[in-house]
Amino acid sequence: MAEVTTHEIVVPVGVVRSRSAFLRDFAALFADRKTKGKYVCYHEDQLVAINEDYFALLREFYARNIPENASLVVQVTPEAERDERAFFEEAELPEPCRSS
Amino acid sequence: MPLFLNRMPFPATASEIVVRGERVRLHADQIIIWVSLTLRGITNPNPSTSPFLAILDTGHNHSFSLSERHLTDRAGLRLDRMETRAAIRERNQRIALRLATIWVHPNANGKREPLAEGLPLPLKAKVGIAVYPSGDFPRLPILGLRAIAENDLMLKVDGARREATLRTGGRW
Repeated sequence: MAEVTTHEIVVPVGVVRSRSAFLRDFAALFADRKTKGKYVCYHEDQLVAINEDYFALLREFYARNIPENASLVVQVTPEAERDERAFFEEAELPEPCRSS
Repeated sequence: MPLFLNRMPFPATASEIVVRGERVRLHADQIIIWVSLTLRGITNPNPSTSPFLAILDTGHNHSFSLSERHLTDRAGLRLDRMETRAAIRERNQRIALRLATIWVHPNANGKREPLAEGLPLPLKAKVGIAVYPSGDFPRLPILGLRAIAENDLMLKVDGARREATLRTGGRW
């Protein structure tokens, strides 16, 4: 059996807040032609950047020194909303598993 | 049209590839792909980056998965410098999804070796890459189906010729 290492996995609070803000705003973002299907960046509670190109948005992200540990870059699609909701709920779960 | 895999052979027998002096055992019927990883903030290719080997596995549902040991020894990245984007539960453990950019180093046409003068091509890892505690899984880094889907790529597997081609979308 190979050696197993463990590290505490902590999702930064700022990322959780950004995710929460995205989920809060998703319906409106998806309904708006200016944002539907595009990549958005949330910094804490605020939508701070929109771009249709992922790497262009990342370049803007780092040029503006938006902190990675307090932000979220995500595409405005139902698939992404589903993923982020799953991540959000996981963060809230007590160990070892959720009762249904 | 960028080619990520250019008629990459996948032999019917087990084989070995030496990467930076390390022998890597490959099972039969495994499609390999040469990759490197950078922190997500690196958005320009670095031609001098040394690639490492991953398995292309369409049955794997992350963009990219590797162990902490792979991350350190093969990708040359430090876990503590990679921000956690999310955490998931899998096999009774929590797995971190870390921010990174995946770079694919195209292979030489019809050969398993990376193209010497090829520029690495970036892949989005929108929800991050899965970094597992060093243990039994994954044995080798894995590029999963999600990376193909998220980057609008097309994969063609020619069973008769035992070759795989991966490229950007559009007609063949």
